[in-house]
Amino acid sequence: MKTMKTDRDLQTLIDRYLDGETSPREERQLALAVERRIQILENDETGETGECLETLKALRLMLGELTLGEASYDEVMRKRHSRRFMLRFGWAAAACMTLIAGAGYFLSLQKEPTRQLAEVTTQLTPQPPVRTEENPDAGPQPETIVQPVRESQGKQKVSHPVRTKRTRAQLSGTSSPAEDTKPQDVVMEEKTLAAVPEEEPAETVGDLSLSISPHKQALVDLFLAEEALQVAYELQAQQEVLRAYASSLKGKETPKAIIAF
Amino acid sequence: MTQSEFEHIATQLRSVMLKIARDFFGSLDEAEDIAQEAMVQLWHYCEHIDPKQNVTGLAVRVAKNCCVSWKRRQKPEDPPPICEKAGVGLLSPSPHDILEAKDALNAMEEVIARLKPRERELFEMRQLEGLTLDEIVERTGIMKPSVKVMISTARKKVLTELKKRLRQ
Repeated sequence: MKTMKTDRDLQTLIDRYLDGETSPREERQLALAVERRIQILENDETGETGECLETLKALRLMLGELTLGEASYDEVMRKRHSRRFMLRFGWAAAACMTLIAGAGYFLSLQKEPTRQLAEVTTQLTPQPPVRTEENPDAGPQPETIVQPVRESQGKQKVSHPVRTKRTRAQLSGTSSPAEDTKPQDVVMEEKTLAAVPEEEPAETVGDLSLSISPHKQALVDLFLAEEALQVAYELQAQQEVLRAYASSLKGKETPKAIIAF
Repeated sequence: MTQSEFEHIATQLRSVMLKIARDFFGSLDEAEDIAQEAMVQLWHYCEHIDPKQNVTGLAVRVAKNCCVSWKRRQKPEDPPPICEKAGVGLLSPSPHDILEAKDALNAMEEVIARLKPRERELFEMRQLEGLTLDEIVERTGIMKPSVKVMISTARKKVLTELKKRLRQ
């Protein structure tokens, strides 16, 4: 089938050439094709290609030797350009793949420190003890003041306003254990603390797990403890609401707080 | 074309040939050699060149042929190119190749001489000078369909005559 297609194409080109419809480029292609066909027919041992061979040789004479030389020149240049194009395409593809891989690696590095920080803080932060009837002294005091860690350039003395959670009764000085636990009385009070010398700028995230000063670690612990305390207060408030609702349903005395501070 | 006329346009022709050779080889030294060889071949043929012909086009074709022949000479282990088998642009052809080329040239000249003047003129413009149909139309002032028909007629006549001679 391939040979038949080639013969048909060659015949079509020959017909166009004899009709005067071919361009100089097509005539160069024809010259190459005719020469190749002549070589094949001359090597053919069957000897049944007489008239065809004569026609092709006559066409070769008509097309001329210069046309054939030009066709060879064009073929060499075409192969060379396609080779250069493949090389450039290969380099461009390799460069794109490198960029994509580098971007993916960079993105993975960005996510990595956050995960490390979360793991480290979880490991280092102790769980605040819960105050129960058995251990009434445990748990953080209601007036625990926690100073949040702030980043700043160099050592500076900074005073931060800190909000503490205290009940109205505590503020007025007439507090009682039962009143202390009412969530609607909780008031956020702002206090200005004494200046605390700032630490040096935070170390890189990658070094967090390896070298962290004790003072900084204490600050982190305090911050986390305040967060835990706020969560505990919220839980307690929710419990109070539930107990009140339960007592309203049952008509009994309100039970003691499960978690008391 | 006289030698003085050829010398007049030699510089322009050489620059064109040099550019073609440089594109092919990539080095200036080889390009200079090719341009020189092509100029020598044109010089020997200049008496047969009609001043009205497209000499630049002819120079381009000769330069390309010289490039291909030169390259094959440099790499003898490669199979001989098709154009060398046909005796094209050889820098040092064998006597047999020269004889074959002469016979072929004589046969073509005799056949072309039998064409009508207008057909011969258009055939040579198209075949020897490598002009396109539009360029032929511009030079002769003949309409394009007529040019196409005349070239077609000339080619068919030449093909028939050449086949007869090859059978003999």
